[in-house]
Amino acid sequence: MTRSATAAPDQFALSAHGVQRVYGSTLALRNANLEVLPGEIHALLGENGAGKSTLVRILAGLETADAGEARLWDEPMRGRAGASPRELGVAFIHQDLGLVETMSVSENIALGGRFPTRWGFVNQSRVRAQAIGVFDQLSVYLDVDRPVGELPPADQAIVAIARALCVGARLIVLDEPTARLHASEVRSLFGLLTHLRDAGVACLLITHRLDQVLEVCDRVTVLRDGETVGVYEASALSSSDLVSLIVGEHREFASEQRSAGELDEPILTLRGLAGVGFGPVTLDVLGGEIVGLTGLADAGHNELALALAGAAPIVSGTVEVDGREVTSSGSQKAMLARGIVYVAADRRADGLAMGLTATENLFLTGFGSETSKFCLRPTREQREAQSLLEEFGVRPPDPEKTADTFSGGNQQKIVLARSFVRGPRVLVLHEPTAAVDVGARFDIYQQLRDRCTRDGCGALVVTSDMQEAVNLCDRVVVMQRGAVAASLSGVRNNIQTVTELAYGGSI
Amino acid sequence: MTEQVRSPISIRRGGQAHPRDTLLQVSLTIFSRFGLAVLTVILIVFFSIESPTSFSTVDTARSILANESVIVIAALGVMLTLMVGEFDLSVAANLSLANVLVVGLSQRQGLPVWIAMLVAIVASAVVGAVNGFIVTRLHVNAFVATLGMATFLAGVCQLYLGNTDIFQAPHSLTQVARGELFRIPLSVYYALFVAVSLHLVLRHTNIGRRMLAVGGNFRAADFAGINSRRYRFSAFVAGGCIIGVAGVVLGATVGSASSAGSTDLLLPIFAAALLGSTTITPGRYNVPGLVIAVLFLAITVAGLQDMGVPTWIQPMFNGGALVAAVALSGAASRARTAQARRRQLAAIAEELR
Repeated sequence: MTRSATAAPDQFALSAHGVQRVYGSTLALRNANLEVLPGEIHALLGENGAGKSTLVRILAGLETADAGEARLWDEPMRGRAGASPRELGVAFIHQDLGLVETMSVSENIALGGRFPTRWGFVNQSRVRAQAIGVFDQLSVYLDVDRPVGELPPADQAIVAIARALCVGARLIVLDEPTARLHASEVRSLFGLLTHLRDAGVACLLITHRLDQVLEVCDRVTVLRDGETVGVYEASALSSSDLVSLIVGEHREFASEQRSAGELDEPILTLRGLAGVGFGPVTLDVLGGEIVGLTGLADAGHNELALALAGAAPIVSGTVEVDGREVTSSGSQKAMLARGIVYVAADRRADGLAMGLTATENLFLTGFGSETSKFCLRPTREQREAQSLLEEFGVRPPDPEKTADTFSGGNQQKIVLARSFVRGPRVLVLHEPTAAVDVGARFDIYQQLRDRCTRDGCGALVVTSDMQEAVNLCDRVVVMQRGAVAASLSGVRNNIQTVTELAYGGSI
Repeated sequence: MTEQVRSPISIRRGGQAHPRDTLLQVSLTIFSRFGLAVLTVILIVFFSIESPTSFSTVDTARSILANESVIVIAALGVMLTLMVGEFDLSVAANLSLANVLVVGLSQRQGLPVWIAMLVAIVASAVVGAVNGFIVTRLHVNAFVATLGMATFLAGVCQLYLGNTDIFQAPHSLTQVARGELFRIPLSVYYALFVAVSLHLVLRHTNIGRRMLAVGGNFRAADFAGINSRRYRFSAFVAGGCIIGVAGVVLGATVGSASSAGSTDLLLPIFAAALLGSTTITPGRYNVPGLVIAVLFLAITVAGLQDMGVPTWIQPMFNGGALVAAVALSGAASRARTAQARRRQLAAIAEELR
């Protein structure tokens, strides 16, 4: 571990040591350490699921750590009992900036603290003066009377920062502030951050954009699997160093990648498919093949998955299953009718009915037989549910338990089992192992591979977890800003190449 | 009407027993399933002992059954909308509409009884369809849509009746409900018929499963290929139709129609539907539970009144039962979730050790 050689400061803006946090059935944080100094821009990096957002939620006081200690300006965080982060001069700015779009810039800034009043009534002129004052300090010029909703995203981020400063923030935590911004907007935002740093404010930046990290940050903390890997000087690192640090050496899921020669005809064919946030995308999934589709948050793979599920509009292009075009009405039913079965990313919101039993969730649309499509067949249904649960390794394989009593991994296995009930031609699995522990994850991979080989159906694994894409899939398609950047198979399908491509590199 | 227990496994449905559960937890599970039914029986025994001459008579039993038939049918109609995650506050007004139409058309317009009945039921189904359209197509919250509909329908009834209430419905109409078979009023058979057929549809057909799915998580249902909007709409229509049946039975039972309507039935109906979801299969709407809930509410009120408690007990009791039912079922489901979380935490702690 290369600790930075910075002289021990009088005070950390933020320090966290040995933080642990359990979520459901997984350990989201095992041993997270983080120190942010006043007057520096510090980046917190890690893969999706490395524990960044959990750590931020703990620092924001939204969750409590199960073990370890977190301090803000030397004040220990004690959950609800202690002072709130805001009282300690810490502001959290999330991707959703928390601004009221219909209110003016000056009103939004006043919302952060208290509205200046006169005799108990809001004093509009002082509300404006306060906003103008803080923008002057920042040497930024914005029309304080415009509704925030009319401003471009970058200016909205600036309003959020101004609001934080207005209530005396000395540490600003920015969670993915640049995800929605263009390059020039990013530059102006970073200009502002540099300005703040020179004024002695501490900034913690949580981001996926490595180039930006190297451009603006002083130091970098890397999290991997809930543990701090190390703290590094940004100036001493290259972009590919960062990728190696972020990725690390994972426990491998042993799978032999198959080449196209051993596989069948194409089952799913997308031709110039475009929708909101992606496209045009052209790709094939062959029979028995598992194709990974990955990228950063704005790469468009998530939107593509929803379009294939029939839950998001398709603007142009075609989807073909077994050479037959799927009607462009694009409803969930139309997609299912052609054998495209979607496994939702958020099993709680879109996958399972938590109050219903495992059986009912497995046969959510009913349990028809050849003789009668009308009546349920409780005994047969139960038996079939039981064998499905056993086959997919759900523990305990009790078909009468309600879904909410299973752990996250077992819930995901139920969702996966259901997707095979209908005899799919192609599965679209959206983040199939999000918040699933390692053991269950490997079970799911194994089931998926076995089933696809046996049934000859294809699978498109849409995931932000690049390690998953590489380990599980025969071929990985990397997307960048809505378009396909590359399709990698064989030796080129490795984590380093995939990650570099996703982060904006090229081959 | 209690559901048959086939194997120990089916006790778990909704009630959640677990191999590691203690005897206490198992008995709590059984209590949550059959507690209300047992309580109802205890109440019957209690009131029979307290007022042996007036309560424990065949007449009392018959009048409770006859009166509550309407509540059972109407509450089943409301339950359909509740099952898919909506609700219908226009139930009492819709009930009045069918009541007014069936009595009015057969008495004032002199239509044959069966036509009057048909028109009344169809009218109620149309009201349900309009509710469903407003909620699922115009995206108006069910609370607002059906509350507006209730008030609107009250006006419609007044428009039809003018200033004069109708008494003395034709004998051929009243006979439909007051007639007896094996000394039990016909209205009881209607309630039984609706209850049994609905139970079969909800528990044993794919339609029932899909309604359960839509109510459980409509987004998941959509992704599974169920058109959740169509199911929600259909629940309003079918619910309206059943409420129409209840209105016809009500009209035939009382033999009159008044512009005052039956708004006072709104609460007993909802209390029964919600209280019914806390028993037999706790946490989900079910027909046997609803029937038990209706009987529980009616017997308590009748028994108390028999003991000389004035009539104000009825609204107070129904209102209290409504809130208590919702609070109880909420607490029960939170307890189940908390229990599941504790088990998971314990499992993780074991793995970490």
